[in-house]
Amino acid sequence: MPHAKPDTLKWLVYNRLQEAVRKDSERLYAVLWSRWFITKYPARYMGSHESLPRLINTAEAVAILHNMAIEHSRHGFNPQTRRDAAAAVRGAGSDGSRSGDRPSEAFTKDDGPRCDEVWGGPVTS
Amino acid sequence: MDQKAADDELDLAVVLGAQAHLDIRRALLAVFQDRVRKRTGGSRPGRRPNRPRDFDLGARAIMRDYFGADGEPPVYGEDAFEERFRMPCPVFNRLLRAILDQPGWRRSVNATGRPQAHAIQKVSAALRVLGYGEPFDRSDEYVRLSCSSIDVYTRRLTHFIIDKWKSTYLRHPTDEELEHILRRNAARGLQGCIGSIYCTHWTWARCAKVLAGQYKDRNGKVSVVIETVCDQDLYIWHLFVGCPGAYNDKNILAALPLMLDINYGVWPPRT
Repeated sequence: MPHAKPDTLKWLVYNRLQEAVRKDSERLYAVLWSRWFITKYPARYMGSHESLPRLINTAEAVAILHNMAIEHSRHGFNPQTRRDAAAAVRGAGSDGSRSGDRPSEAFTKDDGPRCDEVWGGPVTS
Repeated sequence: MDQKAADDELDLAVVLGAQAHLDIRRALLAVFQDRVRKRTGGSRPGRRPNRPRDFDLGARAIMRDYFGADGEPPVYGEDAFEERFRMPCPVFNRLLRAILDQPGWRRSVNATGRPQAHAIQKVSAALRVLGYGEPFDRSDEYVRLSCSSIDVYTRRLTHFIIDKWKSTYLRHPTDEELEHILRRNAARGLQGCIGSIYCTHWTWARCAKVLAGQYKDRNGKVSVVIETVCDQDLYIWHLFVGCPGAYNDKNILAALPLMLDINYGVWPPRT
């Protein structure tokens, strides 16, 4: 909690630092609302019965997808993998290929679903 | 000690009672199976036939637009993909590859021998609902799935994601990660700060009338509280959904599982 009436230098500094950390969660909701719009106006069409479990499931699934996307863009949260990724970026940058903050697998079509895979996928009864 | 033994006996009785109840139901079902008429599922004479949706059309459109079909490059690039599917392409590919062979998702053949929809259609339709918050029949014309199918697949997608990835992406931090987070926050000036906690009210438009009074928030709307703890990268380390809207930022701490840990003297809190 920020100090309500910061009148000393100590409290002023504390409030300033706390503000910087507090803004993270404000940003989180801005991102969630703009990305996963269902977290802003949910359940307009979800039936009324057994709907609370569904709300909870939806929120959790959205949070997991959000975390996956964040992890992808930030190379994981394990410090070691982060260091490895940074080293890989430096290595990739040194041999001439252009790589900014988001290196590697930008949009690899090789990895995407191939037509035969989607068409000729397993057909079961 | 006596109390504990009595409790154990009570638990055992409850479990046995539930099992007996299930057994009776199963036996009754077996007896009446040929007499009880199945109420849902399948087509019946006299009802409207399924619409002749061309499932292949939907799958082909998605492949053509975002992945490229027939040797052509995709119509929309990486930016549009991330905007529409709300996630980078590699993450979507990961999701799709995990889901492609699952029983409820892969392409099936119905009773009349007609092949059904492709997995990619089902996934994209469900992601549209989650990403755009749109009604289920909104993407019918593009994805070629009916309103009720998209309802079903949205529900299945959330279940699938939770079953598969909750233990990886929505868990408490390990010791190493916690140390990393603490170090980052200490560098920003706040010693011992694990993350920033915040709660918001999520309007529940279709709440049952029975629950409406209970879930009313201070603005008179029916809502549910989402409580999150995130770090500087906006990675969600803790999520708590489902509290009635009457809770506010402060008194939700009384209901928060993190706070229970702290009250019991567990630090760092693990929930």
